[in-house]
Amino acid sequence: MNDAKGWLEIERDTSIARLTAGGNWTIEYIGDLYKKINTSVIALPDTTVLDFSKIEKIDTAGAHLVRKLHKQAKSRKTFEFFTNKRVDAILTTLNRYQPEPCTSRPQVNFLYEKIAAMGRGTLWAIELTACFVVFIGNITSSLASYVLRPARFRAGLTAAQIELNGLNGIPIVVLIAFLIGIVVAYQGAWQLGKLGADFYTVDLLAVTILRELGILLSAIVVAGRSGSTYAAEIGSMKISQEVDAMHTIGLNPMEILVVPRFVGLIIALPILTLLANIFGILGGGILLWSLLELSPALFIGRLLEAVGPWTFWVGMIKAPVFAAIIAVIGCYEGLQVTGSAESLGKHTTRAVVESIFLIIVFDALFSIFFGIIGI
Amino acid sequence: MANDSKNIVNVEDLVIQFGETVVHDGVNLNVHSGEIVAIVGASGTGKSVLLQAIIGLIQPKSGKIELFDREMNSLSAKESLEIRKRFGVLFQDGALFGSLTVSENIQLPLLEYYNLPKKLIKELTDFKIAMVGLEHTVGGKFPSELSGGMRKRAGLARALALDPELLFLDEPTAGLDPIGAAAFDELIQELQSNLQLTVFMVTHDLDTIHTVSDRVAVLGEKKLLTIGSLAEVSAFDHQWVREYFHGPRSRSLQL
Repeated sequence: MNDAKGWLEIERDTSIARLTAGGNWTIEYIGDLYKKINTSVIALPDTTVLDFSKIEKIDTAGAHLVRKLHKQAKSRKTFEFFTNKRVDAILTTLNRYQPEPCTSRPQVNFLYEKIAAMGRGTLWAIELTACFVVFIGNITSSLASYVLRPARFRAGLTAAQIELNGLNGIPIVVLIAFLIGIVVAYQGAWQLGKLGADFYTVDLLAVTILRELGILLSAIVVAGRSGSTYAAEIGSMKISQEVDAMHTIGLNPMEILVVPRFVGLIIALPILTLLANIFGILGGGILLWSLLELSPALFIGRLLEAVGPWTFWVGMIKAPVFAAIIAVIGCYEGLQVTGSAESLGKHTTRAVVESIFLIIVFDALFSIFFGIIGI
Repeated sequence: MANDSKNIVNVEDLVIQFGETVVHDGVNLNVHSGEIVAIVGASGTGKSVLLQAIIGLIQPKSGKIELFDREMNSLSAKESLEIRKRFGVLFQDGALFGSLTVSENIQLPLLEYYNLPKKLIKELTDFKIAMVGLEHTVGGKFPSELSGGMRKRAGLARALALDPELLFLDEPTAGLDPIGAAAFDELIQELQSNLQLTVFMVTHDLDTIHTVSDRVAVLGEKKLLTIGSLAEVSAFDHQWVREYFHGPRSRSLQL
């Protein structure tokens, strides 16, 4: 391979300009040549001679410059043009195509874009709420149809979902609950100990774990685990047109994809919550045993006193609601995926963020509700 | 054709294995400078795998792969980059980056490797878009807004962005209508002869093979069954080769 640098010599006086080019007019050298042309070849005199015969190697980028020069020189009174076979061949190719300037991505003002995005986001949130309502309606009507034809219910698929999202999630949920139980008990014992009320740490532990933390932790872990899986699974099925294929075969994606996940999670999350409650209390109990030397018998006795009739159920009631939130959003976002990998990523993220957000919102609403009815 | 018989691609005793599955067991193949070689073979004979191995996406178990007389496995990262600049690849569905517009996709290699004035880059991009037969309005669009054929053309424009000497095409005409496919064949042939490109393509399209290729290589039984001009290869005595070149869909060959 010849590595001669591309060059352009310009000899000019007032009436004649002679441009001689040679070497490799290839993309490596094109930047310098372009600069040279732009600075030196401005107003060409009446007689212009272009000599490109010494060019040894040329690619389309080089030919593009040759063509530019040629165009400029052609308008002169006297014009001579020398080429060689290589340059000619590539110019013939080039001249067959008439490029037009392409539109590029529109440049927008940053501030303007942010404000516009806020407006779009608001509209989109309203639309999303409406879509969720419709989607929940679809799920409900599918579920209602099983009342008439229970045999159509996909028990196998539902069981598989319970295994994937319930059974397989047990270790992580249980571990987190256990550790949080330790943290709550430790902090409680420390703070209440200052008041000499460290015995009441058991009450604190029971109420926080059973009413709030057990369900919240399980729901957030499941939103991260299962919500994202739902969106990604259904989304990649959308991309590979599997969902379309289901429609054409006469299968209802709602029945095959959404309802089993929905029902499966509504069964799985309360079980996970129950386990989280047990292990949270257990973690706290073990810490109190070792820290305060609170014997298991004493601990259980105090626990039964501290837990009111509703304390346990207040937590558990939330589980199916949160499960429904996670399943609806995960499946909905999955079905919104279109075309690209980028869209898949976007909707998977949304599934997790939206479901965690709504879980917290609903948790707050539940707190207010339980406060009003006084349990 | 520039038949100085310099080998641009040289594959020797290539063995590729995935787990227990042996895909290639001693493939030998040369591609000379300035020729168009078409790789054919039944589904599952590892045509695309061979292409991926040559462009360095799959690590062979053993054997030698040379591009431009340099053995790819022995190169440093910097040297291998220099070689990569000299070939372009068109993937089956274009493999355009979804977050960039078509123009930006084509500009990407130019921006990455060369420090060129913005205006020149834009001119070159506009030209590449016109060269592969796309409307200038396509430049500002995103790949997801394009049809399969347009994506292929845009992918070709990106593969040609650095003016490579060697072009790899993976099923260039698959999924195109016959007119689009014929136009694509013509485009490749014209670019090849005018830019002195060497083209290595994997294809199923008998029309493409007939119009474009200088030599045809047939993969089968984990080896290269035969390589040669279309006339030579179609006379080769092997059941699959006979069925392929003389089957009901080979009318256009008129051999």
